[in-house]
Amino acid sequence: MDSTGASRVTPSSSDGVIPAPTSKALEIASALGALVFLGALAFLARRIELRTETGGIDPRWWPELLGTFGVVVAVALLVVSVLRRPTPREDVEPSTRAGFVRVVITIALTAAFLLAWPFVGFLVAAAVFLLAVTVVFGGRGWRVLILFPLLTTAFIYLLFDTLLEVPL
Amino acid sequence: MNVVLDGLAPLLDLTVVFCLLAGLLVGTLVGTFPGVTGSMAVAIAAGFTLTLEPVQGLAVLLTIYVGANYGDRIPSILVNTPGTPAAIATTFDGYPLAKQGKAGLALVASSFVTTGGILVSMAVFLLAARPIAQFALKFGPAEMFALVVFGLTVMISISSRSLLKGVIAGIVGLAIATVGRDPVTGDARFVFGVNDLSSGLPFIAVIIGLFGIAELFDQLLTHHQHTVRPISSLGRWWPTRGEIKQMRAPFALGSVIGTFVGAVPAAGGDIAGLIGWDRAKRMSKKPEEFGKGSLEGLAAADTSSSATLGGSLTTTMALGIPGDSVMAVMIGSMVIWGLQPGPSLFSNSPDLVITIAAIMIVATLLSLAISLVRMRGMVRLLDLPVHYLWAGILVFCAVGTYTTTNSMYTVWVMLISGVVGLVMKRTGFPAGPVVLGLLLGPLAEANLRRALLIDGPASLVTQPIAAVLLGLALIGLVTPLIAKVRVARRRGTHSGGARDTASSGLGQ
Amino acid sequence: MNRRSTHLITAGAAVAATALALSACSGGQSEGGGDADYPSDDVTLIVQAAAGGGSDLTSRALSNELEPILDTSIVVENRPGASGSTAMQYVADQEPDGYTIGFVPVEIAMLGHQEFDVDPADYDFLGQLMLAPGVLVVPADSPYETLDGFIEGAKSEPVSVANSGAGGIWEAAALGLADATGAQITPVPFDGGAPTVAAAIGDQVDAAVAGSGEVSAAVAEGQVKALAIFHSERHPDLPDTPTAAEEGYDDLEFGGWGGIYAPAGLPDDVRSTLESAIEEAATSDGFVDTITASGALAVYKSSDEFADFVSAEYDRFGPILGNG
Repeated sequence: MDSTGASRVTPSSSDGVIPAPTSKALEIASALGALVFLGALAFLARRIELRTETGGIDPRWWPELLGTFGVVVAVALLVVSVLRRPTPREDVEPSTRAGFVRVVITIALTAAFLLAWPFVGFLVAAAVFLLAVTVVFGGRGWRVLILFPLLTTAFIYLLFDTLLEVPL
Repeated sequence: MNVVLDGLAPLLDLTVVFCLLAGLLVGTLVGTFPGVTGSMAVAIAAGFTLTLEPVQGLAVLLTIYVGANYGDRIPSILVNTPGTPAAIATTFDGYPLAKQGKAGLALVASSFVTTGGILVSMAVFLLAARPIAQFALKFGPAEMFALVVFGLTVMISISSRSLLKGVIAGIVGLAIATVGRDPVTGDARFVFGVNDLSSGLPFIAVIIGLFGIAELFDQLLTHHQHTVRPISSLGRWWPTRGEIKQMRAPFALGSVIGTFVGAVPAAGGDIAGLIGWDRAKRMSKKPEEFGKGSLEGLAAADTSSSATLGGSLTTTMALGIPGDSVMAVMIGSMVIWGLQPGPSLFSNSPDLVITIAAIMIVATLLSLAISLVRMRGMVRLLDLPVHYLWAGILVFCAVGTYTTTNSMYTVWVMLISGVVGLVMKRTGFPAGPVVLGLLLGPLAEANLRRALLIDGPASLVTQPIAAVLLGLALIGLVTPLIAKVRVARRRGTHSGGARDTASSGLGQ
Repeated sequence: MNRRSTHLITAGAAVAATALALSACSGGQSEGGGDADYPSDDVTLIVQAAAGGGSDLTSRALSNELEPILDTSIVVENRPGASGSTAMQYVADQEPDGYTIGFVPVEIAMLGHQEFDVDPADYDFLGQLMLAPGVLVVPADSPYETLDGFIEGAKSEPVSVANSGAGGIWEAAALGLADATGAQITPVPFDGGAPTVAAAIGDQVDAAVAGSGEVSAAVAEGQVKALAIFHSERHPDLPDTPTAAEEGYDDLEFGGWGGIYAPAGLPDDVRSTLESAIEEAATSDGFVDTITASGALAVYKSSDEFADFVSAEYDRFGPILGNG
């Protein structure tokens, strides 16, 4: 995420909240990202296929309007991000390398969980998933790694499948 | 007086009391569970309650409705994940309050204003159901469009950091709302041959992803051993006298907005919460604190989203038209029991109206008591080591999302929204406007095009309610812009930089 | 399973018991196609709409009756989305072993004409359960009193007719009415049956077409006037509403019907078990009472009749929906 940024502050041991460093590159990149997305919207909106062409306010009209207006705003954001000092980021803390790895692993594990769920069933998939993410998040010891996944899985299963009769 | 006694008598039955408690338990539980909404729980419970006596069944269904409205505030405040869409606006100030170590205060304040909101709207239900319902009936497509445009101006308020980024986020929300079948002609838009996409992106999965999962990912990204997360360092529980006084005006405003928005068919707690929060911000003496942990903001959001309960009930019972999705299920059940909501309900069976109101009020008071009692335990959950908390949130959100459609596609949407939400958070794009666009976009487009089909463009200006709302929306849109430009100009002259003047109004 | 069992022993007997019991209930959903002792496991009933709607209600009412007859649990599973096609495609993809059945709505005869990948030939139809005939209503203070008057009026000036959604049965009914009579009708799709009726009550549209269950209360309250019902006979809840044929418009019949289907290719013994169980459940007092109370008609058709009916409806909707 922040890899576009020029500077990265290593976490200090003080417990005060340090805002993430500002970065001009990040601002420009995000403006470009918005421009690409909204440009694609404007482009694709024109290519929506209609079964009957009515003209006027048809299904294309609203997405086209959004796309066109969006491109204008995104260009303005791009200009601002190039010309002006980057916006302060006092509401987000700096990311850490360990944190980045943790996020990527978590996303991968969640994706694996979602892929496995239809094949091995909820009970197995959820218990293994909980065990795996707990390890990644720093949980250690048999109580944490065995009891917690099993109890949580059983609780969810009882609540939905048994009590509410929503099949999992 | 006899009618009142007749209406209250059924509540003394022990089985009804049992039903009340069962409903409350289920309601708060599902409300707390992200993804599982009150309407889903009521719909499922309706399958069981068909065999009960009407009053017992009503006791179960109405208390689930009320209970869910308390339960959904808890994850909003504690982990930034709205338990149901009605609690979206609660996250704006509730979660910042929790981060400041005021989780206990936020929860207590939220419970009290929620209670107040429901009680005020129930008073309106009892005293003025028919006139309110007749007014709600005037909301056709043109009026709905105007109301929704009015709601969209909230976007300006929730993008306080950078207006440009806020507007872009809003457009992205409106754009992804167009995915699926066109509401009027049924043509496929942005479906790319994927069948799942033809009913659009599932709203609940997107909000859980953008708010809850994105926040979790951000914590994973930035957390390190030495930082102490302050949420569970509780501080005080009860608001001071000054804080109570502060919450009075937003409470009054929220009750009125919530009752009316609730009465309008198809507009519920999600929209009401957002509009209430926005109006309170515009009226407040300290608008700059909104979104950073303002008790006023929390009070306005929670009061107005809760006051929709009485408003919805009003339309439902007085007209037979469901005021929200929970009430649609309620009508279905009532019809099976042989009770027909509608104009004659008030004249033919006033005792039943009293019973319904009594169930709602008792459920509200019990919910308040329960939420005050178990609050400590709830906040204690945050004292759990992070590995329990994070793993638990992940799996709970995934399961809650899955149960909305029983389809893995919905959970994938949640995960992807979480990743997108993280990128947005790191790059300074607010998530609020996306959700607002996604929520209101389809309503805006569909109602505009309906209005045009029925009467042509004239209907938007000739219908008085529509014209007034659109006018207010325009004012709401223009005044903050003028204010910003003015501030920017002043700043610009001080620093003497011409370039600053041109862009600072929109850039910041 | 082995690795988990080892863990369970360490984790303590109580947890082990719960978890083992749970995994036992969840296992083996798909085993045993064509077995003589069908049903030996839970049967899943897929519903194409969210919990709480008419389709869901019908399905749950049926499953209440079906459970004792089949002597097994029926798990009602809602798979809403994409106009119901998500659920239909899901059902088509399941093993035809009788353990997955589904509620099939009228849309099965329509979606194939609207660029959805849904074909009635992919299913075995096991029986029709219900029918909600369409009703044309106008606001209480509308100038129109009869179907004939309405159509004559609509020939000189276009009228807006609300329906419950683009591509749905009631939009098709409005289009069919226009096709058959030459009336100038602008269908205005709303988001569901209740908002449609609300639009008529609130006088925002000239008329609305909706199912009998959705309008009967509003008609009884005098909030709207019912001009005609698109069915072969009058409806018990709307005794004063003439049929379209009585008003001189033959063959104007539109209804939201529903039945039970399964993936094509059920083994014969499973199929006959299901057919007779569905017949018994669909004609039971409990089911008929629930459907009647909701304002629809409890109409049972055997599987052969139902299959013919579905294919006739499929052929009929082609031209109305502009597909052949």
